[in-house]
Amino acid sequence: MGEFGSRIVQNYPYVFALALFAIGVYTILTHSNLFKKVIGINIMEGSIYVLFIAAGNVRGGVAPVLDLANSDLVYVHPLPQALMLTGIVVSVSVTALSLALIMKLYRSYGTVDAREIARLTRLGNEVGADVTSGS
Amino acid sequence: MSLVVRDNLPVLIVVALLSSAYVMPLLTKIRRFRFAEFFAVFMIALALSGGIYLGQGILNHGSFTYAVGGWAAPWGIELSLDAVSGFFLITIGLVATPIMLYASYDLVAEVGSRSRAAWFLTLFLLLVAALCGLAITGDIFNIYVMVEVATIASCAIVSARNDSASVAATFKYLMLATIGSGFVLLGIGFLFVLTGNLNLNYIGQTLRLTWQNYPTALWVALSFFTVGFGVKSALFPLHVWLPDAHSTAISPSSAILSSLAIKGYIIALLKIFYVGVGAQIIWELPITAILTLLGMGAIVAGALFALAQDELKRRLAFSTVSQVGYIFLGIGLGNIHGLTGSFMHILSHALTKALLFLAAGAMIKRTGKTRISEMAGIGFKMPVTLGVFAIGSLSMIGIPLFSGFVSKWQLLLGALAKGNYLAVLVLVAGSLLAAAYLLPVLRTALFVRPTPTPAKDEAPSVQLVAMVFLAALVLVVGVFPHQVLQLAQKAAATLLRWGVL
Amino acid sequence: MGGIIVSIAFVIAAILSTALGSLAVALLSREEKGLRNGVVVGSALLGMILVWHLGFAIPSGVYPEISLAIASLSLKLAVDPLGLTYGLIASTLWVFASVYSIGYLHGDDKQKQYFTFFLLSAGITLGLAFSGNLFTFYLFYELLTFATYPLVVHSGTKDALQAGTKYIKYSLVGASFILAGIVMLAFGTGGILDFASLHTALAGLPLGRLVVIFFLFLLGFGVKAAIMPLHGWLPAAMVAPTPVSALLHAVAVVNAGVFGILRTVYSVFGADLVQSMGVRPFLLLICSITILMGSLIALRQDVLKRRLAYSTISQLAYILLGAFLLHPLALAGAILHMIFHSTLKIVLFFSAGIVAEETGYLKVSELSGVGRVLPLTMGSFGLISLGMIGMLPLSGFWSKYYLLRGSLVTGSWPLLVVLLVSGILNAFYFIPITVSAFSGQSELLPRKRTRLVWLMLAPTLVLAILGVVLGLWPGLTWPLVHAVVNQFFIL
Repeated sequence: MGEFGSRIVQNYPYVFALALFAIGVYTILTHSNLFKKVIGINIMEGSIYVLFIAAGNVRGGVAPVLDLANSDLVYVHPLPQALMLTGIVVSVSVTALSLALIMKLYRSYGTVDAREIARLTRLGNEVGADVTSGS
Repeated sequence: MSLVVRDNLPVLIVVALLSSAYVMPLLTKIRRFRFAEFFAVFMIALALSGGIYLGQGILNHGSFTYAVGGWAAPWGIELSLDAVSGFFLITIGLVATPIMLYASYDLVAEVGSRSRAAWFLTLFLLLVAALCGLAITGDIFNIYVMVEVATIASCAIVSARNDSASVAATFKYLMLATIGSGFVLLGIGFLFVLTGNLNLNYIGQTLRLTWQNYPTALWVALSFFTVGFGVKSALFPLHVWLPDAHSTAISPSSAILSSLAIKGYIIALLKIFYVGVGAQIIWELPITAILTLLGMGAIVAGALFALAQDELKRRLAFSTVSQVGYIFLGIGLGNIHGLTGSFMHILSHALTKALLFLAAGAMIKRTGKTRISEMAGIGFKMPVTLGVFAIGSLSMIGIPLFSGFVSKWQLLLGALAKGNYLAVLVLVAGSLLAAAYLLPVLRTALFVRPTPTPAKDEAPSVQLVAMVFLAALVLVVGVFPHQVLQLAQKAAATLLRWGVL
Repeated sequence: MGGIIVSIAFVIAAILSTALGSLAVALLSREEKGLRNGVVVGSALLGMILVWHLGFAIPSGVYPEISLAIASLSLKLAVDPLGLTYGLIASTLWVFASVYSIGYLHGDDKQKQYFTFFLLSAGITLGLAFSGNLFTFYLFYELLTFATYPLVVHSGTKDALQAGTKYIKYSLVGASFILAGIVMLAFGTGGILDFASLHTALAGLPLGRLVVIFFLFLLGFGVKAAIMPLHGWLPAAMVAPTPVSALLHAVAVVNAGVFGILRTVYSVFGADLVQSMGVRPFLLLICSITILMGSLIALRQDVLKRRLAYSTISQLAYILLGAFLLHPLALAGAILHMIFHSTLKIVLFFSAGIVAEETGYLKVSELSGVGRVLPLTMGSFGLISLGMIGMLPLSGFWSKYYLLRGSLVTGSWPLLVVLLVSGILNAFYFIPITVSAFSGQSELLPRKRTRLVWLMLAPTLVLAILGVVLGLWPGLTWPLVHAVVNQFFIL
């Protein structure tokens, strides 16, 4: 336990990130409120940022802004930060799309509960609507 | 061709598609001649010719790399143009062009309004651009970006008609696909932590030297990739979003989703596993056994679910689940025949499934019915549509002279080479099950007396041209597969690092 | 033989003539009946002439072939005596069946669909006959199932659709077994599937695996060859129009299964190899069971076509018996029986069809006195049924003779008993039909023969006469039979 325990403590950012990831995925899958699912997405994606940026951390490093005056500065790895900027953009887009979809769903079904929507959709199918507009 | 174009062709294909995507809303303002739609067809056809040109070049001269923006690897993003890229580019072009052609017929009426038609075109072109990007990229984070663009575009395309059922299906798809993306990004994170590189070739080289120190981490990373890409490519049992998405989306959306979008993620998985990690390491870990099992399960489960569906599009959706199982089975077999079979099946299934969905769309549109049992006797009014549906069905079953047989044969040889007789049995059973869920559609449409409300008339010529084009390709690939098979074999060999890269 | 050129072009031309004929029928409008009938008979006739021309290959000993490579597999057409046997039977009888169909289907509203697939099946059968390797064989075998399906479900009734589904199910499952066998074989031989060179390629493979492949082929081809217990589709398929039952289910499709087994035993494995596999007793046993059970069940059938169907199941097993005895005399008997059974059985089906069309009677019990109403029809039926039993002067005698000799020579005494018992059973279920037809009373009056009836009657009579001619001069078939036996046995 000692060896394993100390390795966990040493790598705490990654452990934390994975735990947060699990929480995020759990939220998306189990909560039926659509907004909570979107929050879950953000939690999940947030955990990945933590993982990447922690991976790029250098102990004693400074922010990766080039300072030509000071030549023996140690910088933190800039690449993960750049990558995660992209990740944040993706996350924002997905969130925006989800929220737009939630608005449409609320207008059509009058609820933001996923189970209720599934029930209403199934009822709609059983009534057997003719699909003549579009295929 | 101008030197600038030729030298930068790989990037230009993606750039051209991206730019035309963003121009679409403007172009739809031009109301005459359905200008925007045909422009979209034209752009995709251009991408197809670019892809064929590149594919020929790769066949004749071998692979090459391209540094985006002139920044060399490992600092810059490197595109790796090899047989895999050529194969997938050609597949995308050959299938997306007729789908777009089919969609161009009365798109505004299909989706409901002119502005939504504009967005549909934008999203479609974005999806094609992202898939082309996936085909040519050699950088793992570039894969992530392209995967995300493809995900968002394919999710949004499902809700093109903006009715409540399709929006609900889209939301479900988006949630699950994003979880998948999360897993993929985690996997990328792990590989980055292990190797410090983002370029697939460099990752591969580094891993070969150091992976013995971190077998668990690598194993976990590979599992994350499997789950992540598995959700997105509808691998059983992660396929749950697919049937709803298909039954509510318009036919062109279903067609491109099932035939191309899903395959793009599989190509990404192949690149990461075989270029990023490398065949030697893959063979030492039990990942291939798991993929084989999942593949076999998918084949059987997907087909059984398909049998239970009366709605035509849901039946085709589960058929996709089953056929994706074939591709994963080939990947799991991991030998040259298995991978060649997977590539051939990527092409064959793309052609066949697009064809079936487009034909089904025409059938549903003309009859106003979605259930197979309500479509009795429509074959008399729609002979061409049913004819091409028959060609698609026979290809899906795997009859010789159709493209489906070529991939099935390769997969069978691959299974025998591994001594996996269970896989042989599952492959043969899969064909029988495909016959069981596809032939009754033909039987009802062709040999049962028509119902009181039969089809009005045949589908419009534009759509027929698109469908016949796909059917012709199915036959051509089935009867003269030599060139394509050679490219597929080269792609498989490249992945397995046999022969010249 | 100087001056007579036998080239593979004739095979391609024969297949094309029927295939193009099929296309022409599909494109012609429904109304142009005369033209359509002309195309049908014309393309069948052309096919027959071309195949007969190929028969000249036998005296010259030059057997043409052609390959078209499709990646690692190749499509190969080749002429050899065994293929010629099947091709000649099919192409010749197809002409007769075309004329008969025109008469039988008069007034039917789906003739265009019928004749399209009728001719298409002809082309595919010829392709099957002249396949030069297993892959081509499998291709045409699968296509044959799909091309004959619309013919089985022609009437569109619920029974017909069910029979069609049963047919497809049985056939596709069988075809899967064949594919599994082919791919295992291809894997073992490194891709060689040519009938000509498979013998040597199989030399190195382990015997256990060869036995598995053999039984896969047996199961697969056995479905179409209606070996019991794989025969279930055949009686159900009797709901099809009579020309379909006659031609396809007594000649083309079932012979395709038998042909497949002949190819398996002789072209793929070779008599020596099959001998060394030690499976002969088992094979002879299942043949005997099929022969006897087929006849026993036939006895209990009242519907005439079903009685003929079970008779077919039994008779096909005779051919397989001759094949499995692995002796030149027995093989000669098998080939002769393949030829004679087809030519005789088709007459019986044709007669049954005329009776059904003219009187509406489908059951044996209703046939008393019908002989006075339809003397020529029932006369042919009666005469030919003697051939089924194996009596002179019908051709059926000679094939049975050689089968009996083959059993004697190989010392298979039980088979002699089986053959003789079956002959007696045949008598029991055929002779009473004719006797009751000519002795009983019937309410029907004899009627004038219309032109339509002649369209059906003429082929029946000609083939009946052929049955007698071949019975009196069996030597007419010797060149072909000798060629086949010489192909597979070094004497």
